[in-house]
Amino acid sequence: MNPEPSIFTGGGRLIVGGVLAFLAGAIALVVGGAAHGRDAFYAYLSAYTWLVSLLVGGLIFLMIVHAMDAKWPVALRRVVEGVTGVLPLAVIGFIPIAVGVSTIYPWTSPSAIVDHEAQRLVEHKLPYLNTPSFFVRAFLYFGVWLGTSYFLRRWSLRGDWAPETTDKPRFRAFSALGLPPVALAFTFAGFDWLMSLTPTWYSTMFGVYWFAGGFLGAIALLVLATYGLQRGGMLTRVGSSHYYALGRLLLAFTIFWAYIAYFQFFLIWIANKPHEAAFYAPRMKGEFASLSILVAAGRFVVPFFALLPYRIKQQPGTLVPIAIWILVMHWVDMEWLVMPSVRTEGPVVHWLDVAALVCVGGAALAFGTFRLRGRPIVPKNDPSLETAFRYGSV
Amino acid sequence: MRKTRQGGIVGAFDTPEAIIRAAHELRKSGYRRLEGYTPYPLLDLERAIGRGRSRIGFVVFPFAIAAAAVAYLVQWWTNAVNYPLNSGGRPAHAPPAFVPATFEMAVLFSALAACVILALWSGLPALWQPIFEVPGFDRASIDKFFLAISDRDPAFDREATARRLTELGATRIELLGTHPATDAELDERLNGKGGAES
Repeated sequence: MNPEPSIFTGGGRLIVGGVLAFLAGAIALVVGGAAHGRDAFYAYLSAYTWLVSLLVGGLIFLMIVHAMDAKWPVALRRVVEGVTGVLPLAVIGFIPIAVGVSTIYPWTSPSAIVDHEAQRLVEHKLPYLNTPSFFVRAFLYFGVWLGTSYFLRRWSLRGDWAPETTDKPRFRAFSALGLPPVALAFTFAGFDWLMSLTPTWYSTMFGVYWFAGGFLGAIALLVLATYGLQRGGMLTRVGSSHYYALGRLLLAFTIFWAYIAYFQFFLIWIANKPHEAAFYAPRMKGEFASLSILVAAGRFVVPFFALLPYRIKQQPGTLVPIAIWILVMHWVDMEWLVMPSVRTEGPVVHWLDVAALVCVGGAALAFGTFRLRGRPIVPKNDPSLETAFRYGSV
Repeated sequence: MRKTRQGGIVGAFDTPEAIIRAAHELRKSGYRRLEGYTPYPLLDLERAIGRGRSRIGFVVFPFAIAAAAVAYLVQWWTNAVNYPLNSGGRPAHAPPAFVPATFEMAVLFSALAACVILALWSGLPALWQPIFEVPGFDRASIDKFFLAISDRDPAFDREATARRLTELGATRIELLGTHPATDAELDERLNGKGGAES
């Protein structure tokens, strides 16, 4: 049924390159951290939240696909599972955040907050925002994400060696029931790790904002990984229709991101209440104003118009550069979420931010590629695989 | 009633497979002006007769941009130039407040433009087409598949094309628009009195 070479064995250079990037980035972070301790933690937080949102975005995509019993993504399912397979690394990656929690988050020492009103508000939030419960919640989030991705991956791999078992109903039920906890964990992780950087501020849309960017980034990552695998001679039967489907999702979630990002801003801007505006105020003046414009233009205007024409979404040659752009812009977005809150004096981008991105990205690339090795690159016994390959759209 | 002197040949097929195969073969032998009439959409037939994607998006796009620009200009002029009001200390020219209406106008005018252009491109004002005269054409919306070849086609030749259609499995061949039918003739044909089975 499926004659193409299916076991993934390559990626040696990716692993070596990833490990080297990780080492270079890590050394730079440690050396730079000795001189600018706080900046190293901020840089790491922005890179780390970039990675986690991509991974959980991939997990949510995988679960939606399972819950809907969608056919065409079956051809790319192993690639998505490759993305979610990096999640265990995210647990290890949380260690620097845990170490730096009192450096990064102002709510860890409310007494140090100068503004009396703000101090009172943060003290009021202490039952939620305190270091022990921060760790317990992080532990819960990782439990939900790792547990879900573990079972989905395990059943998927089991299908390769035991063709007679049909896990389809199990996949569906598990994914449908698992989506709410995974999404809630994601939302609250956004509250804990990013929103609490401005502890007096709150937005119920914040989790959706982080999700929209992460999901979009995960699809972009999928485009990139699929193209990479095709360049390596795998997934030969994935064609323009599959890219078109991914491109449509990129366009849809670019619009979705713009919609929720704009309305989060718009409602706060129109109400103009001090505690809500506290988040946007530092982002609308000085150097950070240009970063805000870059985020709006780079996340919406450019990809939206670039993704409108049909041909661009259909051809990997044009879709891949846009996917790379979206991934970079997602990181810029994380910088925008983190830096104006903690590094109010600037600079907008520190060289340590790039070092952290290289470190985290390299480690994830190496680990993800390593976990994909020795496995079939498609779920080869899935009854929908043939339909998935034949998928054709208008 | 538009008196278009469009002529050609139309062949009726019994199955979708037959009409798709015929369309493929005709395209291969150089026919370019093909048109299909089927009871339900056949994606493969659209491809076989050389219909690409609709270009309506490219035509609607300028309308969307123009509508957005006009909407923004109107808001700017009324709020910031003609009648500035201090509302909560915000600047008179406050871009965030203008975005929703700008967006809505872009959507509204793209939808209207798409609607009108689609109707025009479908030839809507013309309520009659020569192919309606073909006896039994009403079955194109029931169970028959019609493939029409225009006589303006570079490869068109009345005898040869008709023969070709028969070879390709057309169960019936009709001439299109040989003479503009009068209402009486049309009525007669549709009621099947003098309906010539070629």
